[in-house]
Amino acid sequence: MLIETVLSRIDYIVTVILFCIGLYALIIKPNLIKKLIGMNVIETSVYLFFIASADVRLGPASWQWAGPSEIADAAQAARVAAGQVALVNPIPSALILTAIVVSISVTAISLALSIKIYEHYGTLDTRKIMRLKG
Amino acid sequence: MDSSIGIGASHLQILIPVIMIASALLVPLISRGNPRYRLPLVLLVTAAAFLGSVDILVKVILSPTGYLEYMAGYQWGGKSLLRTGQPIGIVLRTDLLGAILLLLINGIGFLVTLYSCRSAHHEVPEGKQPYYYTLLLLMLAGMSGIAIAGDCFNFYVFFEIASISSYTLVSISGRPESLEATFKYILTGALSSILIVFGIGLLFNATGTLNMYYASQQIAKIVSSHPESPLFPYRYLIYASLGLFIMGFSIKAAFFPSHAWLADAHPAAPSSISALLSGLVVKTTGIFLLIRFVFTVFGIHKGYLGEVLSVLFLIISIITIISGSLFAIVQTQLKRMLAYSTIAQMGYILFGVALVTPYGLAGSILHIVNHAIVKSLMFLCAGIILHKTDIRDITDMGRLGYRMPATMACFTIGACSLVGVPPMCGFMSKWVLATSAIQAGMPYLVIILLISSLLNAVYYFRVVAISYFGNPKIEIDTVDEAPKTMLVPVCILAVLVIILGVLVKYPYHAAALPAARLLLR
Repeated sequence: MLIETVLSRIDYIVTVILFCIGLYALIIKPNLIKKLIGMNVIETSVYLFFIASADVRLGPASWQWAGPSEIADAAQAARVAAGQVALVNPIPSALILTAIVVSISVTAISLALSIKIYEHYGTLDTRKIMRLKG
Repeated sequence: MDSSIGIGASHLQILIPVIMIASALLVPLISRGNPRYRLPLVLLVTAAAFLGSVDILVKVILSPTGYLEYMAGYQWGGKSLLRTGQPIGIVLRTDLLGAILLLLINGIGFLVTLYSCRSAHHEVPEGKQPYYYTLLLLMLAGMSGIAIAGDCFNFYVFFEIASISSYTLVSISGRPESLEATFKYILTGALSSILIVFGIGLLFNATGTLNMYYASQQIAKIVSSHPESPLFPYRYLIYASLGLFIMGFSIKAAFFPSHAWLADAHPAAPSSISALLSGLVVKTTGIFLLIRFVFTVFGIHKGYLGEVLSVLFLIISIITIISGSLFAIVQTQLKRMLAYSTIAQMGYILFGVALVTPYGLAGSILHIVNHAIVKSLMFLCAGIILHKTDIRDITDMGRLGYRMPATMACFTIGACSLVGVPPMCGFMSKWVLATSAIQAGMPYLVIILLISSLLNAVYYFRVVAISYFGNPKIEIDTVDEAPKTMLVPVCILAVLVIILGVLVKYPYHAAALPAARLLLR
């Protein structure tokens, strides 16, 4: 029973694990590039969450989408009514495409910035760089 | 789905960000051809956006529903594809608070662009100047988009446009300390936007919609559902989503545990950008969205979680006010001190939100407007001082008030306003906040506001006293007043501070209080 529950929600569990790994790297690791990798891992975990939740079979993510009666093709409507069709909600995928673009821009800026920081300080170790007091 | 809105105002809503983004991309092209046309174009676009937002504010105040709605995208002949009948497409909805913020963004944006004509030459390297204007326009476009968004995902896109352009603008001078500050800013900013996307995901899973207003109806249904109804378990998703949104926006608004980035990033930027960051970005991407989500979308004033969150916000706001003021006292650099003062003032705004009453929220909205004007004024004054004398430390400012009378007079007006000297606008919003705390049955909270005003007086009047009565530590005899294009925006803002203070009842009764009532409906 427990194993079944865990297996049926494995994508959400992986999301949480990835999120924690990324947060750990973002906060604890002193290297700037490792911090950026952590940031990207967290972002990936959120994307995974979106994509997993778009799958109708696991939950009522799209419980407001058109029901069988509103589908024009009769054979398709019957298959939907019988639960033989795995509908995938298109909205989260579209959102994630946008979010990926955003994260690429942020990563690009931060990589450019770390090149500048390396040129100036000769290191990427935050313990040696961060002289600003919080 | 009613799309029977007048042509002018509804299209203006989307035209403001669209024209700004388009001209942002035109600026580098024009700079390659003939750089002389660059500034007129940017000034024209920001002035047009300002006039447009005046028009939108007037139309919103006059409209019977209290908001303007605009649907972008194909509408399938007005027939919805969804079972619930909700529209598919991007919805823009400008309510009163959004319209106030839009006017503020574009007004201050225009003045800062005017100021940048001279200051950008001094603070931005020559080759980067076209991109400075591109990023400035993108930042204003992103913030305008946030103010008018009616959709949980499109606000995020605009939020990222504003955030990414502000990351880049902080580092544009290329000085090493600005690089460090930007890296801190990016990491905290990225964490906050990840939390927000996660919140959007949970919200979408719980409600099945991204439209803020349909989502709020669904949330009301879910949180009031019976324990045995199938909707009941979704309330945990709602709580988690609300928590993620609050964390994300609190980082952006620099509330207490996550304020460190602001004190580094804001002073490291060029002064014109510091003015925009402290005056507008913190408010639009932080507290405005917090108000929008907590009240418009999640509707915590309707009962559930309201008291818990109220206490939480009060504690955070009190710690933010006191710690921001205390940190500001020990600063030696003028711009760093102003940045810590921004943190303290953000605490004031949260204080009004935490009361969850129309008067408290109206006080917050008034303080958003007042602080945006005053803090832009102070950062622009600090920019003039930097431009003319290269003075960064407060102790070096001795007798500067006699060499630059207009600048320091404007700075003094701003300082008096933030401390809360009566005819200035800062006094008025603090008064509204204090009276609403008494009305809400928490008179002891007024003590916090008084202590904080005292602390504000300590660090602001020190600057004023040194600049008029201190002994000059460095040679300033050759220093004269700033060029007119820098002085005019500062003087306009200083006059606005006094006008808003004296005539406060008109904006308060016409805009702030109705906006607060609309949010708490």
